[in-house]
Amino acid sequence: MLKNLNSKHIQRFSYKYLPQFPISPNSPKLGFSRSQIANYRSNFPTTIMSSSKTIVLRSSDGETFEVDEAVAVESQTIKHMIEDGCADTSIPLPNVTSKILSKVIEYCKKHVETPNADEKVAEEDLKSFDADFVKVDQSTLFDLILAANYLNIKSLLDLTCQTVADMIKGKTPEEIRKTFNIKNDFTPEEEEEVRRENAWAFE
Amino acid sequence: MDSGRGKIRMNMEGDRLSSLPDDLILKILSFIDTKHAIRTSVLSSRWRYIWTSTPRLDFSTRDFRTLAKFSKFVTGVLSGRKNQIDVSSVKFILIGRASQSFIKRILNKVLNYALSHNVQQLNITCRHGCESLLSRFSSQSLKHLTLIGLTFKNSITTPPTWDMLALTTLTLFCVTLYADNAGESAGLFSNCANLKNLTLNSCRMEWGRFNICHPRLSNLTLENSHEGGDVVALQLKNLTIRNSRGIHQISVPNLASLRYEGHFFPLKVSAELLHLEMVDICLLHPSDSRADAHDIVCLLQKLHNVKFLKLNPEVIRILCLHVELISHQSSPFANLKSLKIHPGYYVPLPHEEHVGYYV
Repeated sequence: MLKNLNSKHIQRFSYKYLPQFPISPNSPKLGFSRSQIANYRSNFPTTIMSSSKTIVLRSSDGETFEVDEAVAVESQTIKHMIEDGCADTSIPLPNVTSKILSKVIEYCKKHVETPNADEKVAEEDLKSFDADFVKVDQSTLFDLILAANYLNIKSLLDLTCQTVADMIKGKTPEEIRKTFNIKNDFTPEEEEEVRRENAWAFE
Repeated sequence: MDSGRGKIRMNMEGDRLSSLPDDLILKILSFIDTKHAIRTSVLSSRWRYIWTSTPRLDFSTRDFRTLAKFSKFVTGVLSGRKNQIDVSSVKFILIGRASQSFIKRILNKVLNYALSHNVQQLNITCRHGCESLLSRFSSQSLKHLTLIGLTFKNSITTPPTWDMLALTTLTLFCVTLYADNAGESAGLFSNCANLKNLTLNSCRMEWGRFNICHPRLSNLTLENSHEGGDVVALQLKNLTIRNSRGIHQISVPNLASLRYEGHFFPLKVSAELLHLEMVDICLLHPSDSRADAHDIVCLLQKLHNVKFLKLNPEVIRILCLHVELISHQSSPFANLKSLKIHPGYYVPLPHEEHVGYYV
């Protein structure tokens, strides 16, 4: 039977099962695009190692990251892009550098792997991961806040904002200025006026 | 030398915090209590008026040394805040001695402001003194309401005739509910048709028995109550009853998980619980009487489709004591996947193999 298979049969066979993969001799494309591979995988799951869908994310400096779809959709922004069909080749994220994107992916992976932390151990483990995750320099922390906001990852945004809030809590205004490099552009009279205005908060 | 270079590097990075957009700064401020959030107004001109748009307000007498200062704070915040901006959550904690008129005045101010600014989450901790204000509660935007009275004796008393269509979560702690007009109430919180989660902890019903009838309720928790009651909730998924005396009649055909903890009073279940998957029964100090054991066996027999069952050693002990009740019956647990025993003190079980056979 194998003898009778010629290229015409193979072509027809491919066309029938891979409608998105046109074999035309004039096709300039060499190799398969990601969506074609994904489509092939979904039609022939047994021939490929893993059948889970992966998404490619491209950072602002051109680096690409391949992640499981389940991890990528932790970001509501990416989730909507996939649902709207804009995720054919790769998803460009012009506002996120590769350094920050790799950290965000690390966070999402950990949180996807630990589903409903019902068990005490898993919950403690996640908490300590979160605590270590935000032990970074201020610059990275603010980049993470902006990335979490842009990618719309609520838990990461809450975590990073809470960290900054903890750095503000309990400090005098002078200490806060020092921690965050805030330039005091009040004249002494203006500052006095503000303090008087809100005196009831300074009791 | 190193520290000098470090200082220069920090200054070159500049002020990342102030360069965040307003809504992110407000998000950060929402994790700080209001008093300290307002203090950021002196940081720089950028920060001067940011706090006026904060969606979260919390007022707590714990943060102030005298009630007069607290009162000034409340007035200052409510008048200094931007009027066009809605609040999303208001928290009010009043602990300590205060005259009834003071409580009324201040709570009135806060509630009026909150309700007129489409508050979505309201959290009030207060002693009695606010009944009249709460009884006229009406809001189209409120989604989560928590009322905490301070002690069982000094609980907040209020008739449950609130008019809140959007309310999905209601938590009451140490609240006494009384009927506005005499006679059986139509159903607790019957005007809150969208209620999904209800928690009643240490609450008292003046008329002795409560009647919960809600079409959309999906989680119900009853703790520390002296009265029994009727529960009719077609969509209830999770039911937790803890330390509640009194007999409960429950009609919850779609129940998926049941947790019962406390002294055993028979749960009268009116329909078969076909969807019940998770059951956790923890009986404290049950009597060794045969009648009680019979009631326990009857309850266990109703758990046909249970997949995850958790019992405490006391239940096993009772079943062993009255093993004759179960020895000629087949096990009702057709779908049981896991059986766990609460860790407690170990009681030597004389007839383990009988119980093992049953389960």
